[in-house]
Amino acid sequence: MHEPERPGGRQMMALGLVATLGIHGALILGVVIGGWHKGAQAAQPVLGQVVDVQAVKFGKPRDLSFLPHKAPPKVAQPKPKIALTQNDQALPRLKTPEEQEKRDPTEDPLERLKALGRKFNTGEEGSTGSREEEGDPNGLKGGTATVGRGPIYYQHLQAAVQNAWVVPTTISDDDLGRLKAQACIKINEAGKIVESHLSQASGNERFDATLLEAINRIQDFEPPTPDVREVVTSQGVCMNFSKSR
Amino acid sequence: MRRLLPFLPAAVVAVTVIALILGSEPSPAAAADPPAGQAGQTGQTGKGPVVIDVSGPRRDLYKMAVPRLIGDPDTANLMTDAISGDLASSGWFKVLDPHSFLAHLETEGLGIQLQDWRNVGAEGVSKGRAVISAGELSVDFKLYELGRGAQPVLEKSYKGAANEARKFAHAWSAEVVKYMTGEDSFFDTQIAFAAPSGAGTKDIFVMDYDGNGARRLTQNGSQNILPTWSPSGGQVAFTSFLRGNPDLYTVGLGGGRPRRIASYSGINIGASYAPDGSRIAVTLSQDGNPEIYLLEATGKIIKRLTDNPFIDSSPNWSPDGNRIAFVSNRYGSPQVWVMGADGSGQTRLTRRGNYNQEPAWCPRCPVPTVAFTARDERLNFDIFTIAVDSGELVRITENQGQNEHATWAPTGRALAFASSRGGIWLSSPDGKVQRQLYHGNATTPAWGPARH
Repeated sequence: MHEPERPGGRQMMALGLVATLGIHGALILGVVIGGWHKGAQAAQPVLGQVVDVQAVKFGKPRDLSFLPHKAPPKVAQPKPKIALTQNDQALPRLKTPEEQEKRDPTEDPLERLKALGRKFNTGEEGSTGSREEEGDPNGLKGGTATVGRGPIYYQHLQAAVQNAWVVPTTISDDDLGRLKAQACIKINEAGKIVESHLSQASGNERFDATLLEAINRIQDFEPPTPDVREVVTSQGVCMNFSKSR
Repeated sequence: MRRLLPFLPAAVVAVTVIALILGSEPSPAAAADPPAGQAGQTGQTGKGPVVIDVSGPRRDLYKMAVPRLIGDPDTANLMTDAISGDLASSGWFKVLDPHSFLAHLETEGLGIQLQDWRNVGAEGVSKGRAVISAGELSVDFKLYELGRGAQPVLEKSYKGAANEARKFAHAWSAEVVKYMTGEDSFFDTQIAFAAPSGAGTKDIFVMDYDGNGARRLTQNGSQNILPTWSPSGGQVAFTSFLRGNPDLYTVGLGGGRPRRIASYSGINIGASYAPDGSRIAVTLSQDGNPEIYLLEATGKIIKRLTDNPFIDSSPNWSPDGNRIAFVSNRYGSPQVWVMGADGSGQTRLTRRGNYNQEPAWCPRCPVPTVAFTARDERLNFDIFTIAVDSGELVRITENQGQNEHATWAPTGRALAFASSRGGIWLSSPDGKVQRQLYHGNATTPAWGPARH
């Protein structure tokens, strides 16, 4: 059976052939032109390349000592640079007054507490707070929920006392390291310290006086928060003072 | 069921992990950080009070008020100034500005109104009355600690000639320091120094530590330099060009004719007495270049301690007499070195900076410490201290002119040095407290021992 030829089949074949030839021709032409262009670039002349230079002596050197001599002009010497020897380092500098003024905020317990409050509120890693503010706008952001160990009120108190506690250098570091004492206070609902006494003396009256002086400095403290009001007004708060925990 | 068997191990692991997580989950309170460092535990047991830990106090100088003494005005002013200067120089106290005082001194007398002094930030108050009667001075002092109430914690009375006012003031200051710290003070010490005394001449002078009572020890129309004290405080050794060559002399505190004890060819300079006074370390150049020698107190050579083609100089004994700090340029630049008192074990001490000299061993520091003069990268000379064992450096001066030749108070609680700011200055060992002691032209101070 002879299958009838499809109409337009020949034209399609011819079109395909032409297209194939065209593509191949274009490719060949591209290769040829590209090769010619590269060849033209390579053919550019090298302007010059110094490989080696040698002075050539002609005869013996002449004695020029008969010529008048003049000392070269003195060049102003720059200030001598301190050339450190192999093991030398530069000497240490003192802090400028500005640097001395700039205290590390982490040295201040109140700053630390504020930072903790910020961390608490922004919901940073490790915090337990939410991003939403709550509670008294004049209070700590994040409300009075416990942060750290114990209610935040105690931590405020702790930070305030620590900030107010100054031990003069007349008590040596060694002595200070050995001294421990306890003072107890009661705070009324307005936040005023209404009672304070030394419950456990250190044996060094001057050290003991610094505790009471610190308490004296925070005489008007914050009103107790509801969660601690009963305790601080009736049973009170005792504080163990020592150089380090 | 069988189809689920392969998932059994995974399920077991998952359940275990969940159980572990739940078991170890901290309470919200415990999970958060306590305030860093000093925030201790707050806890309540039963119905007792809450207990808080407070630690890490701030350290500060003791704030002392020294109101003007009552009584004879001139004597009172002199004694008040002397006591204020002593306490401020001691390194323990911050002496409050008298202009801030609220108390009415005449009404108060020798007592105090606590609140008036609390209000100006005082922690302690030193009060006194000076009366001169028939040429005799009578002084009563009282010390108060505000933390211990309105009763004096220390009282002293002195009687003597009217010209002993300064001496009594220093004695009271020493009592205050002793009472407050248990430490000795340096208020009765003297400082020797060299100063120009005429055209081309320099002499050795001695003054009280606070710059008062300067008097000349030598007067020979020559160059007399580099004084150093004998441990007893009875005489001062120095180098003089009296006979042309820089020879070593000694002179008694009463002045008189200096005695030449070392006149070897070349230089005889930079003497330092051993703590027991039996030997002197000194720089001699009799063998061509400066080397350190050990002499008997009479000047006879015992031993040569350094031996190299470089310059070794400025020996200074350690307080225990076992070591000597000195300067050597054997590695190219002058550096402070330390050796045994017999010259053994010579080791380099300073390793920062390239021009370190004039070592002075602290007589009573908590750790072995040497003060020295260093030239920094801006070519300024400043005072530093270095801990001998750890190498820890403390810079005492900076941007305060040229500061050279440090010398320690016998207590180790202060340094004195010559400064281009003028005269001789005192500094606490941390450099935080600095006072001008002597206003005249002076170089190479040497702090003497306590007077007994």
